[in-house]
Amino acid sequence: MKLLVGPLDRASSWLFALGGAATLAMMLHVCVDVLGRLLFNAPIPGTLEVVTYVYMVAVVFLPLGMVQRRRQQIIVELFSQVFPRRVLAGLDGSIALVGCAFMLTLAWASGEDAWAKTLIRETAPSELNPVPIWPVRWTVVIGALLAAAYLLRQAIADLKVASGAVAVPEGAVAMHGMESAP
Amino acid sequence: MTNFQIGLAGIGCLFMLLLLRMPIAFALAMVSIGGMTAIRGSDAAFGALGSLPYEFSANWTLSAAPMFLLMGAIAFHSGMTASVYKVCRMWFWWVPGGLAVATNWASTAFGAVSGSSVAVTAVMARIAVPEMLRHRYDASLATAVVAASGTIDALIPPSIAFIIYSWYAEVPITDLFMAGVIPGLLTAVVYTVMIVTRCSLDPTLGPRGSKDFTPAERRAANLDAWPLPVLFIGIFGTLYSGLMTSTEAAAGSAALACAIAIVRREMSWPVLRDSLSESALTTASLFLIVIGAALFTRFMAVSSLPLELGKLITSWQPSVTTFMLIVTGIYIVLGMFLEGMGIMMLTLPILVPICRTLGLDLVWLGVVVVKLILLGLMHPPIGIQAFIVKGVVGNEVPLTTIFRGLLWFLAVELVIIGLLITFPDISLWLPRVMRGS
Repeated sequence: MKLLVGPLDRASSWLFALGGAATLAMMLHVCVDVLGRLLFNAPIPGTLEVVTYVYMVAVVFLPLGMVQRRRQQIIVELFSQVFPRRVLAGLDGSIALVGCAFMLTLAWASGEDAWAKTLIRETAPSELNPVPIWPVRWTVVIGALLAAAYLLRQAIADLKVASGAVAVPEGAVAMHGMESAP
Repeated sequence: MTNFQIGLAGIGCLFMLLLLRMPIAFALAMVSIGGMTAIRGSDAAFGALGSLPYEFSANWTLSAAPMFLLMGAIAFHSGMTASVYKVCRMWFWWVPGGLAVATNWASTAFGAVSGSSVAVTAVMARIAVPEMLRHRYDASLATAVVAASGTIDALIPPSIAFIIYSWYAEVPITDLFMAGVIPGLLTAVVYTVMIVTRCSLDPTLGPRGSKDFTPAERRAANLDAWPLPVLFIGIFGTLYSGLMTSTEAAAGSAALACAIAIVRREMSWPVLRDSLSESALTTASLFLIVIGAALFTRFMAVSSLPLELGKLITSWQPSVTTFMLIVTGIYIVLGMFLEGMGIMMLTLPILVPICRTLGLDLVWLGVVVVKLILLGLMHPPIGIQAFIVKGVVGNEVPLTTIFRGLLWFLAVELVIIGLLITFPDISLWLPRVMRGS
């Protein structure tokens, strides 16, 4: 287990950084395109396609591992105050196992899709700017696989707490999804 | 089982899973895949799962969301927004409950350059609550005003909630942004009236302040707050000039926020890194729910549940007021155990088709829905705004005190929602004027 933790954390950190870089690149790319269009009547061809099919997908799926690593998925906190920590840990652990199975299914389904799109070397559906977009399809697969790995790791940790093998860590279960109110 | 029954059963399963603390995005997606398997077969469901997540994230309209989030994060992390509270404080020192009123207006002004109420609430809790407590303000008022006024942000453009709604209901984002302005300002005005009235009647709630600054200091503070109006004009000038799309305006304002931070010598590598990672994390967790909701919409559509419900309601012919009262009731109940964006993504797949059938204005509906969601952020048991304030303030103020203070704000919120529902022009007048028709 320990052997896998290092590479897993490194992978999620790198992909997360790449997601942040994609956000920055999106900002700069759009700005240069607008300035080019308004000032010199020379926009960057294919900006809409690259933003939509490349940056957006990268920004959404590359940080997925980190979202799961920090448990930033939004959940309903109705029972948090009612049940003892160990019961909650058992519940969260079981749900994380289900989530892991779901993420693996997602990785498989999107993997088949990505493979099919790779074989035909898919480009953006635009006659003017056929930007190649098939590699970006794989970010969905990578994001889902990383999230699945973290879900498994968290499931094991939570279930250990629930079985009483490990002491309840302070604040481990309580803080979920405080980051994304509208 | 008929498709309609499968749809109903799906909604039941969804609530079960949510109560079991399954993340909202997973619950939405899993129920939808299960339901589509039952109706269309496993191959169709598997195919949808393979292609839809990519197709929904590859979205030009929604690409404004990460850019506005980035702008807000830069404005926040570079300390640009902290100067606003100082200015409001110097303007409102003379009114009863002046510090609470200043907090209220500073949050509203923050809203204009931020897409997320969490950031607004957290920063105001950090600077305004300790100051109010030091001036012997009532703890429930001091904390509740931060928790309540933090939500105004979601009505004042740019608002991520409106971007998502506009994508979902297919209404122009420029109309929605304008529609939110007057309801947002109205909320701030009504809050002010409530605070001033309460503090006049009972001066122990918010003792009158003293003028502790010179005119020169106030001028300096006003000048120091220049980035806010500049950013605001930057966003709206570009958005409504017709020269740029909303994504371009959003990317432009993020770049403008960077430029302002550089000019003020507040830009550093940690500021940029924190802003980028905050916006990337928020974008990813937000879009997970959006993808879940998109799958859920597909499931609802094949189950024809919204269509049947719409037919049912049309044949019953309720007045708009009755219908909206029911909707309000449902949102308050949902607000007791669901978080804002979750409620929105859960209800829109059912509500929007029904309102289309009833011929209701979808821009107006967007304002009312966002307002109703904000209500849920303020009331127990899971009023997230109260938890955010509590998280910052710590042991000094108990959670029950915050919720007790919020009761006053909830009471006036109900009045505001009543006004918004009865007089759609409060929302629709400004977009009409902006369109010039």
